[in-house]
Amino acid sequence: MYALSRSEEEILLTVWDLKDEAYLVAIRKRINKVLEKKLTIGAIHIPLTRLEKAGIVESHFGEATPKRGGRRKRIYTITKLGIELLKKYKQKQDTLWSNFSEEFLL
Amino acid sequence: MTKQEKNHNFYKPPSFAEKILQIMLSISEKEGLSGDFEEIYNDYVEEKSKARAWIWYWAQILAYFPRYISNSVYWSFQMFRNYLRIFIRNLKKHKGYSFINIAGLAIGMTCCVIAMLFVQDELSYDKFHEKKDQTYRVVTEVDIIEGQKQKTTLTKPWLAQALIEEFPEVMDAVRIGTQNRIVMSYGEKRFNENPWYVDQSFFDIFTFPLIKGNRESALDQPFTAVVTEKFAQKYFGTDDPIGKVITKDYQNDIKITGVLKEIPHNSHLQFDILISYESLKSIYNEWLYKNKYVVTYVFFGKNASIEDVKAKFHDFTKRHWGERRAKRFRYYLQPLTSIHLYSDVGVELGKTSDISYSYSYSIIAFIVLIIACINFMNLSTARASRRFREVGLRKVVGAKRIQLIRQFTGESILMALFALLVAILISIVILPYFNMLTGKHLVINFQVNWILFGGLFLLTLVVGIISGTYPALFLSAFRPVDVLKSYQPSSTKGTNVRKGLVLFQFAASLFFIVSTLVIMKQTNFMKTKDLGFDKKNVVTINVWKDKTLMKRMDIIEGEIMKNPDIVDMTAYNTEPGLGLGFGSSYQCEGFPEDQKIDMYIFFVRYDFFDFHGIDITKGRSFSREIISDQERALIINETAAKRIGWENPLGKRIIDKHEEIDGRVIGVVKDFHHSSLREEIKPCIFQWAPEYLSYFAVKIKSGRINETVKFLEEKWKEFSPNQIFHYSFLEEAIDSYYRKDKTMGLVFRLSSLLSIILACLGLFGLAMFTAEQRTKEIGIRKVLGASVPNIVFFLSKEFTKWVLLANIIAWPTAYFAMNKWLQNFAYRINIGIWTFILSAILALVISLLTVSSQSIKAALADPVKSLRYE
Repeated sequence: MYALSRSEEEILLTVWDLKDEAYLVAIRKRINKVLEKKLTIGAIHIPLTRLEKAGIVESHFGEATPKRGGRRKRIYTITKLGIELLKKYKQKQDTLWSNFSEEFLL
Repeated sequence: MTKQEKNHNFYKPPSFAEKILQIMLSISEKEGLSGDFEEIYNDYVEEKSKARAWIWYWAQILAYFPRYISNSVYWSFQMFRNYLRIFIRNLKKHKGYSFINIAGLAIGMTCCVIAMLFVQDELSYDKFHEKKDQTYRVVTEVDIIEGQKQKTTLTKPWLAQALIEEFPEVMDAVRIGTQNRIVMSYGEKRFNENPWYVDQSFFDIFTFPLIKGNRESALDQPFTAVVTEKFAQKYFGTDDPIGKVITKDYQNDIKITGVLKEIPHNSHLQFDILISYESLKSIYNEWLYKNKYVVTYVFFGKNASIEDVKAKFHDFTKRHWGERRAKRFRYYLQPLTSIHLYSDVGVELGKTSDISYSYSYSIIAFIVLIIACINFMNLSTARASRRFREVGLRKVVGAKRIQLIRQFTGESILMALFALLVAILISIVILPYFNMLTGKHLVINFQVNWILFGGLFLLTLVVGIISGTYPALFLSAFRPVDVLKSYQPSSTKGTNVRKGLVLFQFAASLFFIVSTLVIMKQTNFMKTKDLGFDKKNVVTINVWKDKTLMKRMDIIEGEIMKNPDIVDMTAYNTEPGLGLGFGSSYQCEGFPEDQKIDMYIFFVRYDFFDFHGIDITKGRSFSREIISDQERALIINETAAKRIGWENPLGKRIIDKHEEIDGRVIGVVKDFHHSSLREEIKPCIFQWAPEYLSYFAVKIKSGRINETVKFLEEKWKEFSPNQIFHYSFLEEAIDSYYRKDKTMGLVFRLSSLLSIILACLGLFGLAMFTAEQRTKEIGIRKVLGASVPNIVFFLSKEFTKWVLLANIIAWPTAYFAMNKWLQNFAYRINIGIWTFILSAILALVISLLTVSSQSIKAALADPVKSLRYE
């Protein structure tokens, strides 16, 4: 099974979140905002490429906007394999986190 | 669409940075990523400021730059290593091919290097003079007789001064007077020298640096001299030559005032000792000092119009020579730098050359080089097209066309560079031999010849690129699937081009073969042609320095004839076979005044005809007993007799226009070739004139030459103790007349040899290639019952056709060129159809041998083996 890194996990989740708007700029904006990070383009793009190679995400071209100099967006979507992977990850994470939250809540 | 969106401003990122980004991004990423960059840039502009956005954008690119570079370097290095490995593997695997390919190109380039060095050297003559563009030589053209002009460098000594005084354009002038074979002595040392007498202005006009002595005043005084280092070495050894006194002709003491740096070999002026011109005043009598011919060089002011000067020359001539003489008397100006290559003047101070040698050498070298390049391209393309499988695989793995082209051109450039290296090495090795052959001083000097080597380097690149691009384009056009499915692309596509090139190569080779045969035939003809007189074992001794020798001739004859090895002896003023006597026009008895005939006179001793075995056809020869034969009797040659047209020439009177020669014909002598075979036999008169003779001729028994020459030398010390014995062999001297033709013959022989070798190498490679390519076909043919000769025939047939076709191109061109060359000779061979047929057969046999070695190998191969694989 593909071992997701922390940043890959964050990116994947953001892609899932953004759905049809999941292209690089949007992903970066959202991660930086939610997680209060300052990631560069490369920090998003390289994991994304890696994920694409592994078949966890796939990409297609979306529409172009004037802001982009008339260039199309590369929209990423999660593949079935990716969803399976995320599910498994969530399970494991939840197991790990569950104790913490229970004790914390107590 | 909301209003806001409509008014949305789009900010363009810095365009230069964007371009860099475009280059760095890989194709699949290009659109998405550059769009992303632009969007973020715009966000920055909107949220912060344009400057911040700009900085961000550039920072992004610069930050990635080192990574990008190291990445691409790493990968291209990896690819390069792979290419190199494959290249070396291929070289090793096909040693024969590699050798043929590299050797062929190297040979062609060697020819080019040597020819270009030769041409460069020829063109460099006299270019080292600082004032070369303003310096000219004065040439006199005289109409000797109607329609016959003679150009000479000789001028009267007053000319230099007159030119300076009467032409404001002329800044300076120098006279060069010469003397031949003068004995110079210093203590015990005694040598023959050819001193030059020059004005002090010699050093102002020409750039010959002095090592020692004062350039400004070295030749100011009479009896001072400037000598070359070599000369100083010869006489004074390691002593300081300045102030030393050498004796000229046992009469004049000459003080050395300067030492010249060695005269560059590419100077048309070559000398060992320069004596001040003033010295001649005491050496000659007054008349001779004023009239003895000199060579005059003039130096013009910077902005002088040479055309103006030329236009004024006619008036100048009229002033000095009078109206009547000015009609047949003209002065010309010859630029200093064109003397070596373009001079067509009779008397030269040194050896000159001809531009036609440069042309013919470079044309030959160029043709050989083209043949070699064609070979290289032919073989490389043929070779490369066998690598379709490799190309297919590369394409499958993702090689782009540009990468394939890069790989193949890289390989052929590397090969070609290697050939260049080999060519330079070969040139270095063979240059000394070439120098020996041509009497040149060529050396390879990369600093001086950088244009040549730069040019060759470029050529190497071009040849490499052409021979690499073609197979790359050709091979990358295949669909990899087909290629990998063990399908063999039939390479008929390239074969026609290749065969066309073979056709050209053989045409060029045939041209050289025909030319070589013709030149060989002509030189052989000249060598073996009976010149009409006996020249074997004849030694001629120059005696004109010591006039008393001639007067004592009978005594000397008696003395040396005692030696049983000396067969015969005579004397004359012009050695037979080495040129004409003096030309003049003659009034012949029975013809009107205005029908003078131009003839040439030879002064001989009475026994000249006997000595050389020339037959008298009418009348008699001179007789020692008849005193009136001296100077009063004339003998004419057959051509003269025919030209004059007397019914019976005997007893007829001939007078020359100056009435210096006046006599009656006593005999007619058979024609002999008085000059080289380039020239026709002219009408000649022979006179027994003991006063004018300047050569002794001695015939020696064959086999005793060396001893007898030594004997003569000993004797000469007694006869003329002050003179240095100077002799030459008549036959050798006549042979050296044809030296240029011989050199030319050798050059052609070499080039035909080279071109045929190259063409055969190419053919061999192609035959090897076709045989390999058709292995399967041959296998099937054999299985179906074809015999070995059958297959050999079938493989050779193709090439034979092309070689035969080459004749059609080569024959007319060779005929035209050689016919033109033969026009130089008054006596020449017929080219004849056999020369052509012989060359055709020669080319065919050589090419068949080349091809059949491969064909036979292919035909003998076991068909089972060739059909099994797959």
